[in-house]
Amino acid sequence: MKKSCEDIEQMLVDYADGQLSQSDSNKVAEHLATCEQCRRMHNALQKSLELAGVIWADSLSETENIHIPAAKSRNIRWSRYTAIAKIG
Amino acid sequence: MEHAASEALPESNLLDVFSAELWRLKRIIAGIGLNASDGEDVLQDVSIRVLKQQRRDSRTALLNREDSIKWLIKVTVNRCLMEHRRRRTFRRHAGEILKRRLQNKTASQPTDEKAILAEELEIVRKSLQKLDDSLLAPMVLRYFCGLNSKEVGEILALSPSTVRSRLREARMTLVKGLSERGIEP
Repeated sequence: MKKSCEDIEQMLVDYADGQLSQSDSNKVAEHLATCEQCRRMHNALQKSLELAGVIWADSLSETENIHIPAAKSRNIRWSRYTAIAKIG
Repeated sequence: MEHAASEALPESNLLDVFSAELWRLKRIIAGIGLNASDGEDVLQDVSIRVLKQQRRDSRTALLNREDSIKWLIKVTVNRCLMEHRRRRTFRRHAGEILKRRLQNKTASQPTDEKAILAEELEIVRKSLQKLDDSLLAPMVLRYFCGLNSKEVGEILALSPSTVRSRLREARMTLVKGLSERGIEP
């Protein structure tokens, strides 16, 4: 890996997140246009985040269904917790 | 965060903020990889903290809406990370995730593509499972809950530059997992 590639790799996540200054962002974009290796790294960063998104979305499909009783109609379990909180 | 910065709340409204922000707290729970049962325990514990905090606030200064949301996120993240340390999170395997995902799609995917996707998903799932707390929390808040680095830093008591460096490390860890298995984009 060339020295410039190491520098660019350090900036790739910030680049993908839009956190770099305009001049740094241009520098990374220019480098990516000519460097296959860094381009692959950039794509890998995007892809791994997309895959994480799939896993998170799947997990959310389960947690979205968690039933939270309304404050005024708590079930027994919630009433118990509320009572504990009031004592504490 | 999409809320007025300094909107003061009546003291009784912390519970209302909790109810209004449940969608976000459930995203945190999902992002940390807890299942519904553990997630329910987390939310019950957070609700207790809400009730206690509400009583405390009635005697001292009130939290404004933005501070209330940050406080709720912080309490939820900490409670989720306790479960993350204690139990195995992201328990659903890639094959199962894929099966559920494909059930919702009309077009069928070629078998070899499915196999590659399943392998990639499994690698990322295991990487997330092994990710250190200090990396997982910023990752979830930034990329799954849509907060910016400054907001993540305020919630986790980190500087924005520390948040950025942890995000870099977390992202590189996920990439490393894929490249170690010879998977390239």
